[in-house]
Amino acid sequence: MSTSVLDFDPAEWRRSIEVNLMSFYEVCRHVIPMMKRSGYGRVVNMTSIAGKEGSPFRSAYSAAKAGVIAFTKSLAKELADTNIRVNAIAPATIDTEILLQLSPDDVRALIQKSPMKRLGTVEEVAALALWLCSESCSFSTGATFDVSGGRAVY
Amino acid sequence: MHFTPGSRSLLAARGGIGRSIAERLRDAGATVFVWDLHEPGFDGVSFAKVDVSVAAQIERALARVAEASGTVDILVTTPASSA
Repeated sequence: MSTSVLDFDPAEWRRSIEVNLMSFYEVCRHVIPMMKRSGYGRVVNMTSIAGKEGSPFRSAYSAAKAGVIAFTKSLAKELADTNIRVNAIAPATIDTEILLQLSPDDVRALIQKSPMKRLGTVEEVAALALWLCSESCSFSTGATFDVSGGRAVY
Repeated sequence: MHFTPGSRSLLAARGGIGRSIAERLRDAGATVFVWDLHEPGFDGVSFAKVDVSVAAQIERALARVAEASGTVDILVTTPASSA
């Protein structure tokens, strides 16, 4: 859904922040006490390249996803002296059913933004997520990992 | 990549990416709980209908996870929305 900042329904903007930012806070604040009691945890938060770039006409989503990136850093630092690691993944455009909401021209424009000139696959995102969920991810925390085909520049 | 056998994972998930991660964790031997507004179309995971932006719903669902599994080792949050 694409709407300019000035045309956005304020209630919808707020709802987007609820779904795309508050949900991370709510789930983490409930689940992490369990991990602290057991002394182990791996947390992976799905953000988006929109949170780094600020996508036009997707201001609420972009703001929420930027919030997830910063929230991930804060939480990771608070837990750094435990065996709980907290990281985020920032995909660019991935080939999922969400793309069906876009016109073919819009999808082509998104592909053109990619240095690899293709969409990412859910398998490519899942492969990274699995590593971040594993005990092998021991010295990385508070980080946001790109899956962007080279599009992300920082 | 190493998983402790019997890892307990919770996915606050929606959409294709959440599904793929859930299936891989399941195939790696984890006990997988999926919270979503919609039933996942795949087997081998425990599903609960949860709006993950609502604290009261999270509390109820987490109590059931704790009962079934004791704790959660892995938390993946992917509440995909394009808006």
